[in-house]
Amino acid sequence: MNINKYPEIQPKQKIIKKIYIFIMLFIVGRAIEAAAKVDRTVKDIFNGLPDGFTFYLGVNPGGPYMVVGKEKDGTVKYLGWKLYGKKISLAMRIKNVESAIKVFTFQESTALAYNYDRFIVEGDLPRALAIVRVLDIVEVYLLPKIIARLAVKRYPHWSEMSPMIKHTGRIRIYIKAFTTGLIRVILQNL
Amino acid sequence: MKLFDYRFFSHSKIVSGSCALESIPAELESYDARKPLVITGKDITRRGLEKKLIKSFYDSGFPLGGIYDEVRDYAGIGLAQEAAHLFRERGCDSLISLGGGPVMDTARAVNILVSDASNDPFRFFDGTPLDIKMKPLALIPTCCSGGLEAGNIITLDNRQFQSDSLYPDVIILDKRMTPACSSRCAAESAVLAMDNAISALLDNKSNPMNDAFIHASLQFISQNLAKSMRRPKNKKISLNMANAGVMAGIAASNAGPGLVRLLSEELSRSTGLSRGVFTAMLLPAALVYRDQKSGSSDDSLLLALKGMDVFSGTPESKRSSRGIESALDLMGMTKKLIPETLAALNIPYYKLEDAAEKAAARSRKNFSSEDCLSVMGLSRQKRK
Amino acid sequence: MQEITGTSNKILEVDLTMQTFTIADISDKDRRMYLGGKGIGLKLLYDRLQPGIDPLGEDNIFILAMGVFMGTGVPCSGRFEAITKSPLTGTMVTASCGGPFGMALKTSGWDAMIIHGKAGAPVYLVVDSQGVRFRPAGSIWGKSTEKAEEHILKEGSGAIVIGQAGENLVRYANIRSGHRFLGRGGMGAVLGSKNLKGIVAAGKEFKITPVKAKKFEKSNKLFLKYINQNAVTAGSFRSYGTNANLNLSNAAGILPVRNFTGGTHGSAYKISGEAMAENFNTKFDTCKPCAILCGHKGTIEGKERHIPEYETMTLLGSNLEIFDPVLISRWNELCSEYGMDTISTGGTLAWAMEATEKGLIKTGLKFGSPDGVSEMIKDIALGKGIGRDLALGSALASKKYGGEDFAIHVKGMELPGYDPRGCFGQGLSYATANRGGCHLSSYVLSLEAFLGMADPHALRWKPFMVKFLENTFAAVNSLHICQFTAFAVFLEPPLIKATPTFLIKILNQNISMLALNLMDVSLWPELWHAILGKRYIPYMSMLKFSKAGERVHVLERYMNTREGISRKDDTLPRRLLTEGRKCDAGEKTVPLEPMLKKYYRLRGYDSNGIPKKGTLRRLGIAVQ
Repeated sequence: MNINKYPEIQPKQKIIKKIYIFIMLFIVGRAIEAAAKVDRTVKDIFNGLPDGFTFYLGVNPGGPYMVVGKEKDGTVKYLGWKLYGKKISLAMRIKNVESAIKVFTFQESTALAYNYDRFIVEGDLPRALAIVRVLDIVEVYLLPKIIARLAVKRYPHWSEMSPMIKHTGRIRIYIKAFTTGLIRVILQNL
Repeated sequence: MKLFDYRFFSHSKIVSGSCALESIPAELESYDARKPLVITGKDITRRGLEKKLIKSFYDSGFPLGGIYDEVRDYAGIGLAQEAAHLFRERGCDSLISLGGGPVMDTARAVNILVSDASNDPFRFFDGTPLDIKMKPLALIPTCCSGGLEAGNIITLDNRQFQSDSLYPDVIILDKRMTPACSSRCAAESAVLAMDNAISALLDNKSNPMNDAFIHASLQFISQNLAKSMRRPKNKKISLNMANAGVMAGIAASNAGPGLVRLLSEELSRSTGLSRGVFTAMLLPAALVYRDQKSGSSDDSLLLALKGMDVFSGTPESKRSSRGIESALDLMGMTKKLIPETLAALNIPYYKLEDAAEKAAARSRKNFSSEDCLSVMGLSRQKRK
Repeated sequence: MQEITGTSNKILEVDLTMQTFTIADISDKDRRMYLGGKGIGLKLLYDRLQPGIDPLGEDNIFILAMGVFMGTGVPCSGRFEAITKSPLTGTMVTASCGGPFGMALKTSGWDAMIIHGKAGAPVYLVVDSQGVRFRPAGSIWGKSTEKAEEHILKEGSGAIVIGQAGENLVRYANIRSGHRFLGRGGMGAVLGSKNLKGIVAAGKEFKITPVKAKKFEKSNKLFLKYINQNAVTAGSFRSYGTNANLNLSNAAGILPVRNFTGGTHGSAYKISGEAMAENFNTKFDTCKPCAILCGHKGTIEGKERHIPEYETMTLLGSNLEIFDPVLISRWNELCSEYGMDTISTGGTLAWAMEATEKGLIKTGLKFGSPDGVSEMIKDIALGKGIGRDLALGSALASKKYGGEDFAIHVKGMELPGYDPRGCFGQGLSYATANRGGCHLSSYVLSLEAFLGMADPHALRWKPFMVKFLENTFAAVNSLHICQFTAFAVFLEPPLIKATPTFLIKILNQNISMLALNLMDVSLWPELWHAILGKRYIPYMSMLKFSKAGERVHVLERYMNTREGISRKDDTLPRRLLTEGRKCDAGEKTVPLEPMLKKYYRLRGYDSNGIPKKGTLRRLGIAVQ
């Protein structure tokens, strides 16, 4: 029998999809940092979390990551895309790149993805659910209604979040995400 | 029958839906395996399905030990030994069976060969219990199902044995893999699933756990059969049918082998035609024969096929006959695609009698060769 | 001695159950349409046999049919046909055989003999011009073929007998006729199931003379001339027997080695015809009136033994990786004593060796080792131990024990000594041959591998070549005359003889239909017409001869489809379709599907391989 007829197959990389996910995670991470200053609900959620609490959202096994943490002084900061040297309290990993694409192209909402067993969560589950609520709010701010509807579990009614607050919050978050400390965090992670 | 005096076992984790293939590396990792060997067949590689599997392993960090695609329509020890040699050379630690039927049987045989230190796999077929630690085995059913790949039976070189260690550890139902190659293939797989479910339902070892699987399976089949034959390549419908097939296979593994399964196996072995063709011929006749012979009414079939609404709306005395009618209607949908009749195949009587006797011998006295002959529509001819 | 001009057209119909007999006639229409021999035998069987019966049951019918040539002195005409339903394949089986029995039966005044029913106790039949007498065979039941033949030959000049293998219903038991055998398909088991130990014919009661004597003489002389000048019939076969093919097969890479896993072997020369002639002081040992003289005997181990034929040398030799001719001749003699087909025995033993290697069965057999082979042959013949399962043939044994992927058979009949991965046309021929894995159905490998007249690996025109040769040989077996005379008849006419081989190859590969149809095979129908006194029209009669052959072949196929044979059975063993061989650079496997599709179209079969109604109507075969 000639075993060379059945060669071993080394896995390749899905470069373009990973780049896309990296960009999405980067924007979301920066937006969480911004939203923690802009939006009251997000502020309240983070106030409920202890100081030094750090979590990351990323793709298994070695995919792009987004690390966000609460500093000792209570500010929420996007800590970059590298896990090395950071003490993680909560890890939320998406099992594979395809599932992450489904989440980040809004074919499935985060909650639905949880339902379909696409996440591996290590850490306190109630805190994980709190972070998911934060993600939902951030997505409402970042995305137009037509897309955000697909991404979040329940799009907030205008009585819960008036269009004025939503639009002004959106502008502020986008500005803060792409200006404050952007260069610093990029340099820190290179 | 004592309702709650039973034994039910199903070992497999079932992952169904989109991105099911991509979850294989994570599932194998939970069994501490990092390098699977893929066993598949020429029919499958001809349709390019193994390329989709390879793509799903991108970014997983898991190399594939190799793709052994020599299996055709027969699971033999020669192929299993070659694949086992490849497994050992490449240092693999797990197996993926891409395909059902003989592909899965070959994968099981490879598993026995690489897990068992002695070089005598046939001792398990002769009665030695299979109590060795087996390597993790994942099953990815594709279109042409043999009916029993999700279960615990291995057929190798025309010999069979059943053991709980033969269940696959993970069953992956992904709609990229399940579309059928042709309407006829979809019809035959559906017929085999129906036989598994119905025979398990009517078996005297039936129990509530099994019934749960059977009811779900028959429901899926009755909702999707016509559509799957019209549009065999449709992903959603074929995924539903594959789910039904897996559930029926697990139910069949927890019940005894029915008359139709044993007889169709013997006939298929003797004539070379597929088991699906004979099952399509024999299942309706077997249902009618059973009803006539037993005399007592059995309403479980109506409940399983039509649901509680129709069941409670039917008078008690009519439930049994209506159940059989529903089953025959369901089977009748495949008649167009599997039109063969036993008479048209011109199989000589002595071969049919031989198959009936072999099937009865394997049934452990659950039915006789006269029963088999009656189901085939024949009466015993005096052998001179 | 009385005289029969032409042929007697008389049939002796025997009922073994009631121990009676009747006499019938072959109609003129049947004679014209089916010629004689195999054709008449099949027609008689078609008119009488119910489809679907058990071949080893009482309802099976066994027919012996003589040809019109027998007894007239045409060279190589000492052969007769037997036709029945095979217990090995479940299909119709016809076998051609030499030996003195054919002449004895024909010169007793009979053209055919039909045997029905089953005798209550073992009997043998004594046939003469008055009819048949039933003799108890209790004293010879259980005896070897040699001893049984010796006993019953006291009452006649030619006999056929079965051995213990036939008595024990070994599915590939054969029938001995002098030094030749009605080899394939288990005919010996059919007679064994009827409790018929043998038949002896008195013979020498009639002289057979052709009606148109002068015409006959002229054609006969030319026929003999062609045989004596052809390189194959007068050269290689006359000097070395059928083993003359062995070195050629080895060179062409079609020698079966180690259960068809290899195609050539370095030691093959040890069992070639040339080596046999050199080492064993060979002499002629043939049927009368043979002009080719391919049968030989020699002194082996101090005894005079028939030199094993090519098929025996390969299936009981190279296929088991044994290259010692002494051992092979010993096993050949054992098979002859017990009355077993050496091809099927060898094929089944090779399966058993590979199954032992893979752990499917437990025997002491091993490739390349003679240990246990003689004992296993005895066990098979006598039905002892695992021999009882091996007696069913490799097809059924592999269905029981597994190993179907290396059971080398087609429709249940083991393949003979030519590997079709080296000659694709022969692969198609094996798949479509009516009696199963038979090389003589079309013998197209001779064109591909031996004569260099066709490209062995080309697919174009192969279906046509196979069809043409199948029709021709079906007609030849109805005349009845030895198939080897085809070498002389095809190759000796002046036009072909003058054409260089490479040109024939080019014509064959590119315009085969034209090339083969231009072949002059008129000698055979000329002789047939002269013997029966019918008017011979050049070319038209030759076409009718071909059509008769087609009719015989399609009738056999139609009878097989009534037994359940269809496209699914027209296939080759998995090994030949899926595994290449190391001796072959391209590791080729037989591409059967495209050839089969075309073959069905050419034959007028539907896509499932069943003859269409139009085809049957065109050939005049009445549908039953």
